[in-house]
Amino acid sequence: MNAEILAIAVDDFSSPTLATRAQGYPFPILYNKEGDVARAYGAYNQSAGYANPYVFIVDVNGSVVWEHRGSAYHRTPLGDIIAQLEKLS
Amino acid sequence: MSHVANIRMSSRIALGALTIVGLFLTSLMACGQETTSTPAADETQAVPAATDAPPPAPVPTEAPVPTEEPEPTIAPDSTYTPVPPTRAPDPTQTPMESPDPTATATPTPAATPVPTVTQTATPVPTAMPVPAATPASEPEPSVTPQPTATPFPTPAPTATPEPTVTATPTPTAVPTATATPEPTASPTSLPEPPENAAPLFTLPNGADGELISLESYRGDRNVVLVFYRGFW
Repeated sequence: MNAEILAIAVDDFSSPTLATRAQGYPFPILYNKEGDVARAYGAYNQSAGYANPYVFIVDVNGSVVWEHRGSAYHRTPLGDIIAQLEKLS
Repeated sequence: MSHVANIRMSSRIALGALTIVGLFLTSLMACGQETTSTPAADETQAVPAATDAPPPAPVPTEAPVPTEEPEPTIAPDSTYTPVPPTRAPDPTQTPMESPDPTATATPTPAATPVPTVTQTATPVPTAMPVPAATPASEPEPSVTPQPTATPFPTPAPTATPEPTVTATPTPTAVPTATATPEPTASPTSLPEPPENAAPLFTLPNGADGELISLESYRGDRNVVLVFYRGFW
């Protein structure tokens, strides 16, 4: 499967505690304290001040080929994501 | 016989010329006497008679002489003066009609009046063609209105094809219809990539601070973007 996972958190990772936590994952955890990238993807929750649990698949051409706009983190459809990535490979 | 007749004719002409000159001088004298009272008004009247006028120029030179000589003697001729002016215009007409060669040949001594007559005669023929030209010009404008009348019918048929040209707007409506599909085709092709294109970004990695750009994966790998809450 030719894919890379990038997690984006609207949070400040300047604190050593959060940085240590980020180092425990096998994929990069990018922090976007200003939330502008989340706004660009329409994932920023203005009232709560953080990003909603949205998932996007960007193919090698830079186009968004699949997206999931969820409301709860524990309901991320991992099976659907894997299926879409298999289609692209 | 012919010589005798010629002599008689020449003598008569000479006498006539002398009488004319005498009458002319007497008239000038009479005019001079009258003009002493009202000079300005008479001068204005002399100007119209000036067609005969070239003589008046020499008159002042000659005038003093007759004033001295024969005023009383020629006085009876002064009553006659109106006659010669009436005859003076007559010779102007006579050269056109009657045996001028004799008259013009003999009065050469009185050459001053004769050339003036010939000059006045030349303007007369010029005046004659002028009125002839005016009638010629009149029919010309009368001809011009005729062609103007003919073009009027021609514009009328041109007006009828104009509506046919206005009927051409139907093709203009056709291109408008063709134009509508064209924009639909081009926008669909152009805006689609921007809509599906993933917004580019460059963010630091929370683990080591390394900058990671989405564009760096283009052409290499698919990317799964997962948004998370901050505090976890």
